[in-house]
Amino acid sequence: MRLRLIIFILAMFAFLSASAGGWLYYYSYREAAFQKTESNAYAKLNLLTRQFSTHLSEHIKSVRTLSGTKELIRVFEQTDLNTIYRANQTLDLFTRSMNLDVSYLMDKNGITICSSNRNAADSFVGHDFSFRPYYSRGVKGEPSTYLALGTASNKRGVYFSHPVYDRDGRHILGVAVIKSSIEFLEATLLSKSKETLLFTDPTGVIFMSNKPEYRFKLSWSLDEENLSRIADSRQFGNGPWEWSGFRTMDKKIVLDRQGKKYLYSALEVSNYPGWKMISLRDQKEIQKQVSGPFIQVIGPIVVVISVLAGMLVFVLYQMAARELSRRKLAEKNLKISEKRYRQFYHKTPVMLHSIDLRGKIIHVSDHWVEEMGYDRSEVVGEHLTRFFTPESKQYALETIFPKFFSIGLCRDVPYTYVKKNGDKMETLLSCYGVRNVEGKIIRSLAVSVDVTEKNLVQKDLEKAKEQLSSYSQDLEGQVQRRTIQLETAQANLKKLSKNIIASQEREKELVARELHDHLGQVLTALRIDAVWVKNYLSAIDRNAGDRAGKMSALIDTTIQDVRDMAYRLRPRVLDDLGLCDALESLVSDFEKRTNVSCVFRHDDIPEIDKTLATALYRIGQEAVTNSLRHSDATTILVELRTDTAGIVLTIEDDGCGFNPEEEGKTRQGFGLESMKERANLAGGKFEMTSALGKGTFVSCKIRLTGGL
Amino acid sequence: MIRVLLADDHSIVREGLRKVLEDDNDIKVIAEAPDGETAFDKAISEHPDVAVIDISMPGMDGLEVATRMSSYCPQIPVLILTMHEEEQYVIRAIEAGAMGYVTKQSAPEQLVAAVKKIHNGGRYLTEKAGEALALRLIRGNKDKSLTESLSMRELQVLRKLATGSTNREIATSYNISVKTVDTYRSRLLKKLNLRNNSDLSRYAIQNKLVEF
Repeated sequence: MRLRLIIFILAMFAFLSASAGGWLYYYSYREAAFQKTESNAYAKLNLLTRQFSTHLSEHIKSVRTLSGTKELIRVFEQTDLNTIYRANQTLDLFTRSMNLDVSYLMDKNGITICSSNRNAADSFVGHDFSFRPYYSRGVKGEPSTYLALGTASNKRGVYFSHPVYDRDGRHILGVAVIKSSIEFLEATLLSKSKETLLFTDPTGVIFMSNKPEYRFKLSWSLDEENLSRIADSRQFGNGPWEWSGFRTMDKKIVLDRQGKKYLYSALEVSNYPGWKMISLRDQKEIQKQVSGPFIQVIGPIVVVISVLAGMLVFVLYQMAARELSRRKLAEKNLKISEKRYRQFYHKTPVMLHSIDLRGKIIHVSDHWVEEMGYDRSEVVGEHLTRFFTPESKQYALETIFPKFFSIGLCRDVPYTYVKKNGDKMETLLSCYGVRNVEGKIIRSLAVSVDVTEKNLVQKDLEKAKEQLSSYSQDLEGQVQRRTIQLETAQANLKKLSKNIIASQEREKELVARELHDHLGQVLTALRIDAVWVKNYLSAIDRNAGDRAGKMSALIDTTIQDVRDMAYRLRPRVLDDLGLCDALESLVSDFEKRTNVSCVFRHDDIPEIDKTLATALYRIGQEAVTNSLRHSDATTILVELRTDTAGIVLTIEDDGCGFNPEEEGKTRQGFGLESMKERANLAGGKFEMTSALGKGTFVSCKIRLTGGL
Repeated sequence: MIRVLLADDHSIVREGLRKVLEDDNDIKVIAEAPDGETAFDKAISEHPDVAVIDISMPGMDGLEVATRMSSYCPQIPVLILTMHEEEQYVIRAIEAGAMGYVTKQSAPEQLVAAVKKIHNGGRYLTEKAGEALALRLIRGNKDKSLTESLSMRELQVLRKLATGSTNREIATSYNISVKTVDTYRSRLLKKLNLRNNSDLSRYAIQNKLVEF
């Protein structure tokens, strides 16, 4: 609410400032206008007074001339009809030619003796004008001018007088007077002006004005004495001379009867001491002239600014209102949340407490008191460490409290509480420091988590873990033992496999040798005898000879069979001549039997172990057999090479090839496996690459210990 | 009279061979040996004109005997007897210094002639053995890289063709079909980048694959 008021006041203040600024601007603008009109007025007055002065002195010379004419002088020298007539003629001439009201001649006593209006109804002739100042001064020898209302004609005019001297110019005989009308002057010089123009005599009688109602009124109120003096002078007729109602407010402002303000300025007319030309300008009129265009220009701007200011104020007010309501809502929410927090603090099933800087408990949650078995009143205000075991108390006072109050945070501090019933409760306490505005810790908010159960479980878990670890160690040992067993078994198996192959080879060799050496030799011996018998019998009995020949042929076939058999079991050449010769023999044997171009190339191969040679021979045999059997190759290349590491046997064909992944399992599976097995047992590295249409490549690398 | 040392570990065979040899009146088996050591000793002690040694014997084998004899008693020509038909043995035997080579199987027909030939200072080799030896020589020559790509059989056919044998003759001598010979021939032409038989002949002569 207060904020609204402040905003409103501020808005108003801003509005007022704007307005005041605007007004000040307007005021100074108006002042400037006033000054300008004043200076204008003075300029005008200056002009007017000068013109007046000129006009009002116009006939000074004329009257002097008139006074010097001999016709007028003669009247006084010799007063008769003739001279009077002549003087009147002269006066007429002057009046006519100079466009005067009237011109006349007075004697020494002020009695008019000649006049241009002698024939008019208001003729002066015989009139005594001795009361007129122009007479009294003229008779004293001073020419003069005088403004007055004609007593006979009741017309305003300016009177010029001049004494008439005798021919010697020593004695004053009378006074000549010319009266000129001022009506024309008033009409031409004053009437055009808008402002009120007053031509006043020194006492303030308004003699001329462009406002006819002011004529012969008093510009300022006068006392009786002055009034009677005016009446006595008969300068302005018979009166009454009423007060026009003007009064001065200050130097520049004049009020009229209605209180209307006029700007006043006045200037004296030279030659007429005390006579003033006064200018009164309607202040409102001027203001209107000033404010008219000002309002026209400034008005809309002011309106727009006002509207904008209004809108701005409205918007600000709205914003403020919104902010205000938001704050109120936030405050309300804060209150709710505080209440909730309080509720939360108390009702949440967690041990919460707060202590002050001395370590005294300020708040505890419901759960805290429930868990500890105390009443809240027994707890609040007590030192926290009162509820600790001595060890925890010492730990808290010596280590944790100083640390906490310096950094404002601690986490998972193990404390042991003592419940009211004496039970102990192991907890982990975490707390942070609640700080005041200056950032100083004022109290703590702490959470204690009961870990008694957890610690028990932990211990059990550790025990279980230990047990598990011993189990796993045991198991590991078992696995190790079993692995060793397995490895031994595998090694045994390998050995067995090796032995099987070796014994197989041995067996084969034995059988082959038996066939070759025994059966073969016997057959050979038989053949020798058979041939001998045949040769012997041929001479005696041709028939018997033939039979013996057949026998011999049969023995030949048998020998061949036996040889082939032995060769297939194990070629003697391998044992007798070594791997190279054996492979060469094998390759050419294959070629002879199949008509496939079989090429064998080799380096100089050192003598190698028999088992190794056997393995390589068998691999070569198997590979070439496979090629011949399955690949439709036209060329098979067998190479036995040495490299830095050992011996490499490769068998390459240009046949149809196969997909190793598929075929390996079926057709060539066994052969492939046996090649691998042999290579493996010989400590060699077996490789086989093939692709459909790309031929087959088999290699077996055997590392020779100690190199070559 | 040709005095012969006969070494064979099989007594029956030895007996048969002795009969074969002694059927010829010019030949007399003056000593017999059942193993290599004995054979070598007898050769040294008995000074036979010709030594007929079985290649496969327990202990020192025939090749070893031939090697030793060629250094200790090079004047005694050695004829190697063997059960084996593989050319590899022939080559080894010749390399070991033997002057002839006869399979036991063909002994009744060839042994006497062989003994007589080597006794006269000649070599005794069957046609097959001779060819194998020639081929080994060709193969042994490292310069002839082109022949490396040829198989034994291809080399054989090439040599035959180069010496003017007909396909039929070749087929007969290697106990293969005429068609197979033709296959070998075209394979040879392709491998050696040649056009006809005369090209083959020229090639064989230029590369010393055949002797004239």
